[in-house]
This record gives sequence, structure tokens and C-alpha cells, in this order.
Amino acid sequence: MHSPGSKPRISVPGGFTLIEALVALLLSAVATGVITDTLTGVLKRSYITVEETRASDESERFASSFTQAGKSATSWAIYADRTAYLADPVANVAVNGNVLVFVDQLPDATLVAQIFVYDPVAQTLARYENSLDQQRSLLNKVVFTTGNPTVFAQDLGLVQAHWTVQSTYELLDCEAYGTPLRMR
Amino acid sequence: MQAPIIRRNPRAAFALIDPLIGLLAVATVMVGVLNFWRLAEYKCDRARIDARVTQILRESSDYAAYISYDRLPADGAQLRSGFLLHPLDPTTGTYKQIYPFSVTVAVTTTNAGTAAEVKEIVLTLTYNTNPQPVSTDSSRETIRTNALTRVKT
Repeated sequence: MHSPGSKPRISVPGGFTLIEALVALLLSAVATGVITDTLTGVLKRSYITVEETRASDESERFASSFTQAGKSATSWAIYADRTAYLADPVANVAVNGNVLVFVDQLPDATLVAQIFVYDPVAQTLARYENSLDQQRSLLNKVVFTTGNPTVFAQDLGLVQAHWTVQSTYELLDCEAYGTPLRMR
Repeated sequence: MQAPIIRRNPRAAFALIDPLIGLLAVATVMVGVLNFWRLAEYKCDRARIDARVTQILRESSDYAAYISYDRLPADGAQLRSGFLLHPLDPTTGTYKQIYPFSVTVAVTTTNAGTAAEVKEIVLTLTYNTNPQPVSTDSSRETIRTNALTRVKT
């Protein structure tokens, strides 16, 4: 009830105005965007690391098989390329090249050949067992390491392999060494 | 005597302290997000560096283990040097070279000049990285391997 002479009061409901709500929404959107972007970046970085680690591990396993085959080999030879090896494995032996063969002899006189082949056109480095039909492992995107015109070489009393993997995010330099029994 | 009644204006807006607290909260979140990002970057970098360091030490150890005895490097010689990582630079499309390293050998010879000559070889890998995330961390790291024994005969 109003007293005579006084003005009637208008009730104004308290709360946010439209502009305040819009500003709040904008701030929330920016904050959400930044956090989402960060999380996406972190996940992407983790993915890249996993990819690089996988590529590095593949090369490490390849190097390990190289060293292991080299240690136990009773004979070995390097060839300029696959064609030279297939044409004449005896006459075409070279000091360096892109094909390497380690031959091991088991106690029952069985011969086991590990053949490492680099294909510069396909940029693949493969390991075969006994024949070029039985592939055991394969590395992709392989190029020559700077300063090494071939992947395999005999130098300093060592059989050596140098290769570089051009992965999507990183260049991976790899080396492997072995000394066959005949060289010791 | 009655206590005075304080009435708030129903149309009053935020006080100065209100948006300041809001700004502080947003700033805290942003700093946290940035630190989270830096830590994730650092951990990924460390993982790659550790893997590469392990690889280089394995390669160098193989070299010292399999090279012919007469061609073993001299004491104090540098076995190899280069860069730990070669990440792709997306802007230029080329691979960068970061974190230089070097591997040196320490050779201790016993019974020198005799048929029973033995060499103890210790490899030392030294490399430089970013000192993050803690600025007081040293950017230079040194790793020494266990002694590798080579016998002349």
C-alpha cells in the first residue's frame, strides 16, 4: 500500500545483462579453445615422439641383427648391388656396395645366409634369410648417410653399415659394425 | 536505539575486486596451461635424446669392440662427433641439427709392448641440450661407459 504522495516503486530484477552474458561466453570460449589447443598439441607431440621412437627402434633392431649375423658369420661378402650379387656371387665381390651377405654354418653343417640389401630407388633396406624370396625385416625411407656413398663397406678391419632414415619428422642416422670370424 | 539498516542497491554491478579475482583465475589457468605444454615438450625431447644417446653409445661400443686391435683409437682421441637430433623444420622443409655431441675415448694400456698387452677403453659422451624446464639445470651432460677390455692376442 502506497502512502499518498509517494511515487510507486518499480521492481527491477537483479542479474546479468545480455552484454555481460556474451562477454562471459566469449571468455569461456577463448579459455576452452586455448586448453583444447594445448591438449591437442601435447597429444600430437606425443604421437610424433612415439612415431620417431618406433622408427628408431626398427633401425636399432636392424643394426642388432647386422651385428649378430656378423659376429657368427664364417664367411661374408659385399657386392655393388643386387644385380652384381645375383650375376656372380664369387667374381663380383667388392670392397663396398649396397648388398652384404653373411653366411653362418650351424653345428649340423647347415649353411644360413643373411642377406642385407639396400635399394636406392625404392629407398628400402631389407634383410633376407637364405634367399631373396624370404624377407625377414624391412626399413623404409632409407637414404645414404652423408659421407658414405654406399650402405655397406669393409674398412678398418670392420664390416660396417651406415644408413639414414628420413622419417616424417626427423632424420635418423644409424650405424652398425660387425667382425666376422674370418677377420679376427 | 535501532541498528541502521543498510540497503543495497538492487542494480549494483560487480565490485572492483570481482573482475580482478576473475582475471587472476584466468591468468592462473593460462600459466598452468603454458607450463603443462612446456613440460610435455621437455619430456618428449628428453625421450628422444635418451634414445639417441643410447644408440650412439651402442654404436661407439660396437666400434671399439670390433675394430682390429692395432687400429684402436689412441688415448684421448675423439671417436665421433655430430648432432643428437635432426628434426624437420616444417617452415623450410629441411632437417635442423640440434644438440651437438662428441664421443672421446680414454685408453689405459697394461703390459704395453708384450704379448699380454691389454687395453681398457672407456667412452665418454658429452652433449649439450636445452636447460629447460628448470633454468638452473646444466645444459651440458656427460656419460661414461664401463671399461671395455681388449686383449692383444
